[in-house]
Amino acid sequence: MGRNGFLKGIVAISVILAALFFLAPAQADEYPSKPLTYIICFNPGGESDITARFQEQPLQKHYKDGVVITYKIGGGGSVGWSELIKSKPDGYTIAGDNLPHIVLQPLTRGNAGYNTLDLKQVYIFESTPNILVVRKDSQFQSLKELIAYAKEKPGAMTVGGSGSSTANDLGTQMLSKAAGIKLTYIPFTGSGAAVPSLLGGHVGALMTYSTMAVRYPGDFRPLAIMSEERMSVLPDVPTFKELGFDLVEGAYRGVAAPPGTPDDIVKKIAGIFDSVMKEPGVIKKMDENGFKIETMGPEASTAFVKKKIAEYTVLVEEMGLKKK
Amino acid sequence: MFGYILLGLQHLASFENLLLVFAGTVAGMVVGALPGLTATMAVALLVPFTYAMDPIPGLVLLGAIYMGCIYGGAFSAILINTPGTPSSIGTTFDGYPMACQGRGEEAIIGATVGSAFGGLFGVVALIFLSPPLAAIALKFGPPEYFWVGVFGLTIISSLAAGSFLKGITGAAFGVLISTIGIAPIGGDVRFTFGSPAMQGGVELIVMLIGLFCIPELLTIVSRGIGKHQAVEYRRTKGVLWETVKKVLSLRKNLIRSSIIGTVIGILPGAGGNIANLVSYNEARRTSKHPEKYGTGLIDGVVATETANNAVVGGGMIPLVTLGIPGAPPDAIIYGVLLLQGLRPGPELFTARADITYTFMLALGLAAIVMVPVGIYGGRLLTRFVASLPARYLVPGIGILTIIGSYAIRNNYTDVILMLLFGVVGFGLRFLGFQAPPIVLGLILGPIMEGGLVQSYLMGQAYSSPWIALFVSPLSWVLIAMSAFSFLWPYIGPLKKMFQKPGGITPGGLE
Amino acid sequence: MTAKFRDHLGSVLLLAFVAVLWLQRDYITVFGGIFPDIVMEIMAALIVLTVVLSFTPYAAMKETEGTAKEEGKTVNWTGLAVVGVILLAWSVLLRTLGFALSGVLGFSGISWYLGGCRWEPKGIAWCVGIALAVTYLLIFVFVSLLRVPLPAGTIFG
Repeated sequence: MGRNGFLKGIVAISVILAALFFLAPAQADEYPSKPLTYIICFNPGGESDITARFQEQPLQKHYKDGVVITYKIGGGGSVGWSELIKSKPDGYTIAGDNLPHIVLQPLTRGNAGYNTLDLKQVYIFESTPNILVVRKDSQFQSLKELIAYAKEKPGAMTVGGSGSSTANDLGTQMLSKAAGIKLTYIPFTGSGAAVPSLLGGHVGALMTYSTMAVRYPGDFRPLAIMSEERMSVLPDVPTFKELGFDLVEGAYRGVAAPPGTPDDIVKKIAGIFDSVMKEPGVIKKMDENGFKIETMGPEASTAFVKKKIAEYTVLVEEMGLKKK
Repeated sequence: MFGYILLGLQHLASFENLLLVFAGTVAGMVVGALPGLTATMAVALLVPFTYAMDPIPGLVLLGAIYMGCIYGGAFSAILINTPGTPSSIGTTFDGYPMACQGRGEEAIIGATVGSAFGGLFGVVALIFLSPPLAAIALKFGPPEYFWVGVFGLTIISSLAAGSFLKGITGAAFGVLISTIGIAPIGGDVRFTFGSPAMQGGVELIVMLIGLFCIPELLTIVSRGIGKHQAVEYRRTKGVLWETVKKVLSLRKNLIRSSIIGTVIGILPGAGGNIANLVSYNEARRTSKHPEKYGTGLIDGVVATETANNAVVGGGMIPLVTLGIPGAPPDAIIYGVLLLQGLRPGPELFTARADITYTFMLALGLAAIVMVPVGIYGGRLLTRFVASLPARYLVPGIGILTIIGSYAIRNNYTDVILMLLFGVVGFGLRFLGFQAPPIVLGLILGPIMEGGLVQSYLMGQAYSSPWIALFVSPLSWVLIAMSAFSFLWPYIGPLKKMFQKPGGITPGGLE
Repeated sequence: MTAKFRDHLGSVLLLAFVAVLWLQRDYITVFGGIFPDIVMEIMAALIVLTVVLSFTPYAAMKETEGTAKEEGKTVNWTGLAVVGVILLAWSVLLRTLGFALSGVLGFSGISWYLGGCRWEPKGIAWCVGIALAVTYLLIFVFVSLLRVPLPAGTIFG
């Protein structure tokens, strides 16, 4: 046997075996008939991961072949989303997506690897409104006092949050603008990383997600929350609206499918997530942990995303974040 | 409190839990030994299996895996000069030379005993000293983290076998690589050469495998095809008890390394990855014969492995007291706690003490279980690797590195990057630049940058923003430590300079 | 390859690296640039220092310790090149061929080159067989047990 024979032999054997292993069996008509790959674009232990973990078991009731949670971390989510748009649009690969990230990244980065509307919105299932917290022993008893302090000393009031060009960042900027003050926003890598800074007194306040405020009731004093109405798990926290500032902002999380996924399949996935999010066990866990449940199906979420694109485009111009 | 400990022991003593500790530790060790698979991945992958379990068994399993994984990294560090987990980088310094000299089994025994000791120490600190230690963790803010990063860089004098100057240059190289991707502050896209795939930056594991493993493979190849492999195995009788006794006699090393591991573990984000290097540096610095480090001294292996297992317990401290994970696997365990409806804080130690104490004791038990499994398995593994001819060893390691670099982020680019770093690493080795300082730069880069820029922002209230870096007393302590650590190698020759009017001897400044 | 030459070569290459990055600078915010700029400047300074010192007897002494171990060993450049190319091809083809196929090919390729398989059916079968066994064992452990997806290969759809 010459060299060619040898190589041919290997290729032949391998192709046969590999093909046997990986060729999918003929697809049954009924969706879902294969396992679901649920891509998480952020670090394990973060809000996106925790939400997915809450959903994992209920989802497995619908996806009898299993739900596989994989992580594609990097670039604040952009690595995962740019991979998603190249994935097969057969409805078995979805990724968790976040607003404002999917809107802001393409706007501010020039080339984030994907375009916002490439991600086919399936469902937006929760939001975590921004909440402004200070330490329990802080000098500020109310939002008014904090604003007064910031007015006196522009730039001296440090507010920590998760990441740059995220909801926390936007929220701080929006508050600065609305109240005519200069807050110094300090980004941390993830909402968890910002908490020790507040507890240790290194920053004055945190503009964080509602989930964080719920986790540390004994250490934090929330001053105001950026939601339409008060959250049931934080009944004593006034909304910014009540206090005179029309600010509603936070992070919205949902799932998206690759572009080109057929609409009826998207509807089916949305239906599954809808019933998962309506399960009492899931509702309880989400509420307890400070998540606000949203139930936006494909059309509603796509419209929502478009609305946010318009909003943020204006904001980004104003704040000068656009990549030149 | 002792009542709770008894309660925990009761729960732990159930057959199910004991089995889980054993299985988890072994599984963790296997995963840890495979280059490219980290403890974080191992824990994350096993979370779905815990859904079917009650909270106690689930947490016991995850804890055992975590502890086993950190220990398992030593095996590949010693046998193929590739840290199985980033926390075993330092184990390659003395472990691999030992394996090359036929003393691989000795090295593994040293790593085992050290890991068990460190692991237990960390757990004891977790059980008894959590509140005060957690309070210390909070004192570290952005300026302090910056100085911790700087302190980390001063270790290079220990790591760079050869020129210190090249070590620092290598570290700078590593730091620059760490800036590729999205800036932590401001979100700028940096140095991605226009490719969205690079926005994720360079992952530590990818560079680790690339810089340690591939050059090693290439070296085996370059020495001659089919020639015998680097690692020897010499069967020596009684080596087990001799080594164990020897290691246990290194009391100062064991205790000091454990303390270093626990303390660094409680700093969220500082990374247990640094603990083993700091510990190695300290061991070398305080040793009577520092020049022997790096040639195959068991003290080096003990120092690194003790520290990295102490991080396991230490990292849990801020988690259970404040709900702040000290290391990435803790973040996942935190998620599991939340799933089970458990809230970190005082409640965990009182109302749900049964879960908490069982979990902590399970960690300790895992540390003990590692010893027989590791020693026996280690012997087998050493023999196996030493007897594998290059024609199976090289592709075998090759396939593992490809899986490892792919699996970390499910990213094809990572595999190519890994090879790229492999080639670059091989070339740099040839030119006098060692891998450890570069990897250290990659690890410390984000810590330093985050600390630096966050401190700059914090300092907006001062006339010059940079003042924020020097304000707190803890910063002063860290600055002093860094200066001391940096100047230490030069103090000896400086003293000589004052004693002997002849001046510095050429070899004296190493 | 004297120590001095290695120093210079290393310095040139690293300086080129810094230059490439320096030219790539494109920061939007002031914060993005503070840190990398400082590091690049420090690194350039260190490289220059290395070059300068290489001309003094001071540095040369430092170098001989590290490089002495490397001299005197014949380096098998062809072997290195071949294995390097195989590994590179393996990683590039990972995406198209999938892990199973590229794994078997890569493993047996390296194994064969390093002298594993004799030119007889038994030798080749042994070679490929081990490659198959290792590859599929790993696939089993990762894909089935741990549920970590390994590349399936785009040519398989």
